[in-house]
Amino acid sequence: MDQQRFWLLVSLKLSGEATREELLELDDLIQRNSETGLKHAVISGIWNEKAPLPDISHLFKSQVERLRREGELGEESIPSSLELQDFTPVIKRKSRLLYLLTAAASVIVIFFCWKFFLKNKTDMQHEIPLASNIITTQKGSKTTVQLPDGTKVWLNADSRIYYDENFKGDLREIQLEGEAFFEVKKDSSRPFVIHTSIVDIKVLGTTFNVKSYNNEDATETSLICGKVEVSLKSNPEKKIILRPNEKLVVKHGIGNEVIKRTIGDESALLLVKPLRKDPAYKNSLETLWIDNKLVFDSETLEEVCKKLERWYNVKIAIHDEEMKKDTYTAIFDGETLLNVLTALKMADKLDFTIHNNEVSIFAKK
Amino acid sequence: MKRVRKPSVDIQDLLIRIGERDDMTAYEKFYYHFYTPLFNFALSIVDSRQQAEEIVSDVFVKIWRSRKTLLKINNISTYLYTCVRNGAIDYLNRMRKHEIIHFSPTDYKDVFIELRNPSDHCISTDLMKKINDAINQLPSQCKVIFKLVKEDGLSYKQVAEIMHLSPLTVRNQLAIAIRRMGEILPEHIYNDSGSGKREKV
Repeated sequence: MDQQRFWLLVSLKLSGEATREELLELDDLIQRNSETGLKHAVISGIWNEKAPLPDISHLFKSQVERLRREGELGEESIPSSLELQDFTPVIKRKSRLLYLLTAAASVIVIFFCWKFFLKNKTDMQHEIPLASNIITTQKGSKTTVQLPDGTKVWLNADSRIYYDENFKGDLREIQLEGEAFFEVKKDSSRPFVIHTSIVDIKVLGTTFNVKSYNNEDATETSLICGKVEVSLKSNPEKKIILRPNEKLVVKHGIGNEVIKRTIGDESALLLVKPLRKDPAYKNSLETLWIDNKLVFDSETLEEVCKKLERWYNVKIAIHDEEMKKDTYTAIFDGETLLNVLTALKMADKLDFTIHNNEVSIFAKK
Repeated sequence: MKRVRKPSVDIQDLLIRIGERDDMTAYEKFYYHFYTPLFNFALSIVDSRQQAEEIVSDVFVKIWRSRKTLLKINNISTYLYTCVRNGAIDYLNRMRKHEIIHFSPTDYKDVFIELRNPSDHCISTDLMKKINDAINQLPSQCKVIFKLVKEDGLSYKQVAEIMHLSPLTVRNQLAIAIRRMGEILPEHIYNDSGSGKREKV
């Protein structure tokens, strides 16, 4: 292939100067060589990232001062309401826009809540007809697999993925129960779709984490880089697009009590939040588990225990109702269960006993 | 498929409001739309930021002064960049006192281009650095063209007119820049950059 010609065509396309014939020629070259398609896509991606615009509001102020100094602004041309300090820079206006968008987003969230509960619950749970392959992890273990298309999957404890033999068809579909981290191989012609019992996630080629344990109260999709589109099983027409370093939290919310709470606070059913980081670690808290780090990020003792059960393959009983809502934040790097529990004991008012694989947690005497 | 920098701003409408109603809010929007691209372009001719600021400020004063006739200008973008270019060359001439210089393409200052990791594809920071290094090794004129087309969304014809070049030169220079970036990519992007992918966090 003539490289020089290829990159000329790419440059014409990017700058919007390509003729119809040139676009067809480029498509044809890409069709015949899939790697060039990927290169073209990456260069386009870089091209489309625009440099950020600096805040120039102070410069505009001096510009207006200069016009005034030079007698260019007659008194009549400045309405008294528009005194200099009242000029709102565009940047600040954006925040007002943002406020409106937030309001709009809340409306959407409310809409989702309605849809979520109006739908029949059996509807939500409907399964996709696939899966001749199953990869599963037991409690206390993790694994990594490479799917037939080259996608890498890290599977956390007590999780399963189901997929069809060779990913035949227009979509690469898998079903997930539990938690997994994906590095999806780019293939723009065949999107990759992950089905969970709560959401469907559609991607082209990206890196992200999905946590969807049936015994937890929320399904989380955390995007590291690239782009994913999430749709709720209960309302497939609505799509939520995540940007890098964002996560979508969909509460499994059962019972009407959840709807009544204010939308926008932590108890909303649908939330987009930034990923959480600890300065000591390169990766976000949501994905530290693949580096064998056990993370509690202001999680209640109840949630902590569910994690411990999966991580160490033990049964844990909390014998004091009041303690269940106490929250813990910690990162453990390859520690034993005994060390983790001892740390919790030192930090707070709990005590514990371990017999074989059974842990009892109770209030310190 | 051309991505215009800020499609939400209707320049023609702003010019009408500035010209007919002395509308300061419209002037402000106009200023925000053009200031940064013009400032960056000025910096590719003069090397002092303060001087570049002054040159662009002069152009905006000129715009306000001639606001009644702005609508008669054929292509306001080309006009603004040309004003900046002239202002910048005037400044260079003043610096050299009586010796009038002829500004040639090789006289552009070495602008720095910072490309960013694309949001819809994962490539390692290491690879991204290599691409940036490659693009920054290009001749200064080529980099100025690249910026005007990529960041400011100008057409080849506009760039050619502003920089006093032929559209064919603009087209060839841009193809060189894109090829230089493309050639850095390894044969198998994802395999080669796999280890660095998560570093984007």
